[in-house]
Amino acid sequence: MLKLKYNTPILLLILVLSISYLSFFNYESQKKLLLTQMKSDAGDIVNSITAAMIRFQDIKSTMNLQTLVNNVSFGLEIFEFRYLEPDGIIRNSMFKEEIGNIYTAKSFKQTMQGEKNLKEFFFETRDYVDVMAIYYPIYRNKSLIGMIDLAVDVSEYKKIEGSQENFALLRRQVDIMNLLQAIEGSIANSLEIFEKTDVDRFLHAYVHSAENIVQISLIDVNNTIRISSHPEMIGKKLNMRELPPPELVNIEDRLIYRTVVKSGLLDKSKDTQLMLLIDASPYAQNEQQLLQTALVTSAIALFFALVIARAIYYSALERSRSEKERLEQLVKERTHEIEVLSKTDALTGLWNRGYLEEMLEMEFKRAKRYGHDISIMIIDLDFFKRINDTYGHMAGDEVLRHISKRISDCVRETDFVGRYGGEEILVILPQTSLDAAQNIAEGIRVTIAQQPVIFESYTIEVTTSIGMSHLRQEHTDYLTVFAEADKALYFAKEQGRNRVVVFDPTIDVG
Amino acid sequence: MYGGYSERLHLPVIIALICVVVMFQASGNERIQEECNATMPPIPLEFAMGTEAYNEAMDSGKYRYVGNTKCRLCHRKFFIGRKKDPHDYAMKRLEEGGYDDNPRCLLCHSTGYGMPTGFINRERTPRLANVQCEGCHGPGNIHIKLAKEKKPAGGFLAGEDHPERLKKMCQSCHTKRWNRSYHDLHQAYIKYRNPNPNARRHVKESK
Repeated sequence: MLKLKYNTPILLLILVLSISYLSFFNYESQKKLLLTQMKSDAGDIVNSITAAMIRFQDIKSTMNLQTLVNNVSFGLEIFEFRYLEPDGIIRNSMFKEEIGNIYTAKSFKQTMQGEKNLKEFFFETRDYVDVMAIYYPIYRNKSLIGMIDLAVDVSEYKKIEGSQENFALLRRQVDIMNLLQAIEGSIANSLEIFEKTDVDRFLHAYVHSAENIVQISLIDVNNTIRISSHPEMIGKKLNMRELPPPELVNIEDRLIYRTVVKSGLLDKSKDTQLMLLIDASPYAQNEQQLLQTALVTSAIALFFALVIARAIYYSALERSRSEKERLEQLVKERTHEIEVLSKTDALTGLWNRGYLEEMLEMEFKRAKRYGHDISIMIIDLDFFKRINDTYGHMAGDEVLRHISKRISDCVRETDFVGRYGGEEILVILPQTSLDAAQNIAEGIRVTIAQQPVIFESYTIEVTTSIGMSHLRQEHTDYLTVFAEADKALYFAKEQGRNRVVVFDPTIDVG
Repeated sequence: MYGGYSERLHLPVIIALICVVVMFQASGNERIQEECNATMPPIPLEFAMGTEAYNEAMDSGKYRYVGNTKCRLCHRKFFIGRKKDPHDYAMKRLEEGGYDDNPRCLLCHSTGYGMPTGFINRERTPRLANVQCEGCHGPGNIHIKLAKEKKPAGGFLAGEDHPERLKKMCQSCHTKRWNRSYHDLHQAYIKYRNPNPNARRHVKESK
């Protein structure tokens, strides 16, 4: 009981803690799952954006110019044809693999450094072939926006000696110039289309068509936003170190999932990045729900634990109270029993000698103090030894029990009846005069003598001798009175038994 | 053999080499005489394909020689690599001996001589001198047309897809009389799959 009382709360606490832990563990893992899912979603979006943008740029860069390059390189006797940007990036070329690279030819460097003139033919060797080449500038609004690099194979002209050579080459140069002027018009045309179709607007439209994408931006090597779906962002410089890791961020009270991935979209160098912002409110809602579920589960567990603990506490309290009462009752009963046992005689149920002496002393003191009468009688069974010898001790005991009961019936409630010795029974009669006591004694003697004791098949005739005495002025203690009664009893025995004798100083016991 | 390894060799070796070259030169002259007196050799492609298939292909009029600058648009490494190969000096060697107008020599020292749209002479068809890509693979126009749509494109009369025909193309010129370049045709064939067959370390063509 005691063990259970202390263990149960601990068990309940452990239960609540484990349920709470489990529900929060579940919450955490679900949260992680959600985040992973969103990450993969973001990856998918980035991939599709990248694919779309590559396609977009493909379309843009191949528009007109690629057709032109193809037509020129396959259709005409041209050795090399490129469209270069002023910084040397090969925007387009008859060699597809070099598009996007930086053009490193020595003649180009010389031209850009001013050692050679633009729009002027020169001779050099390219891929072991003698060529005549020209860097033909393309201007737009009076600023250089690009160059056509065109080379023709002139190895055969070298074989032809003489004045004809110059003439043939000059004619070739005129042809090439005409061609370049035609190409210039075409390039100007396609550049105009470039400007009309801008990638920002494309991204803007992309973001608008996709509900949960908030922003797409392309960041260049210097961490400056170059292209963005939000035009106001263009030109802003981001401090990538200060940006928190690609996780959830709060922007204008909206939960945003931001991811920054490397992409070669701006140019071929891999250091450009793509920043994607996705609306994470569905994620936040889900997370909120998960958290609520975890909290509610824990609260329910706690509530039930408390209810159970309370019930157990009260039932334990109730049980301990009733147990205490029962024990108290038991102790009381036992105490009483022991008390009674200590005062009574086991065989007859009458008061025992010790109690009798106690009572004698007390009653005598009381009587002496208040001037009351008190009488005593000693009742002795006649020939009791003979009964024992004749019928056996069981019969003797039965006789004693029987006689004791009859004596108890004959006296009043206030009188004390006790077994003083083997077959001697003492009766104390407080506030009783000797005459009244004598009457009672006579009654006892007659009752016993008239009715024999039936034991098994025997009818045992029993008679009693009774000696009596009472408190008088000269008595100082009960012993004298008791001795007088005893003397009277002996006298009664001497006189022939079955009689009542009151003490008289004159009686003489031989 | 004529390449640029001599600087690695010691002087006696160089002298020995010169002797050998001079010896071959002498025997070369004999071979030229022999060649001039022999019957007209076949057109290489006809030899490789068989007369019937060859005639059929030529009569269709679909095939046209384009010159190696067009091949360069996609196979630039091959173009550069073969610039150092003896095949690219074939015409020069004829010119050295003054045989650059001899039809039986031009059959092997030019690209597509004796065939429609093939080499005629240096003045009229300067872009088909020497043994170029098409010299072994046959006319390339169909290949270029196909290459714009799919890869590998194919479309040659003696392409990678017909190795037996291609080996016969080699054999048509590298005859008993003229072959001093290789002893094992298959080894040579494997070697010439590289952009620069004469390089110590072969580079692979990237596409």
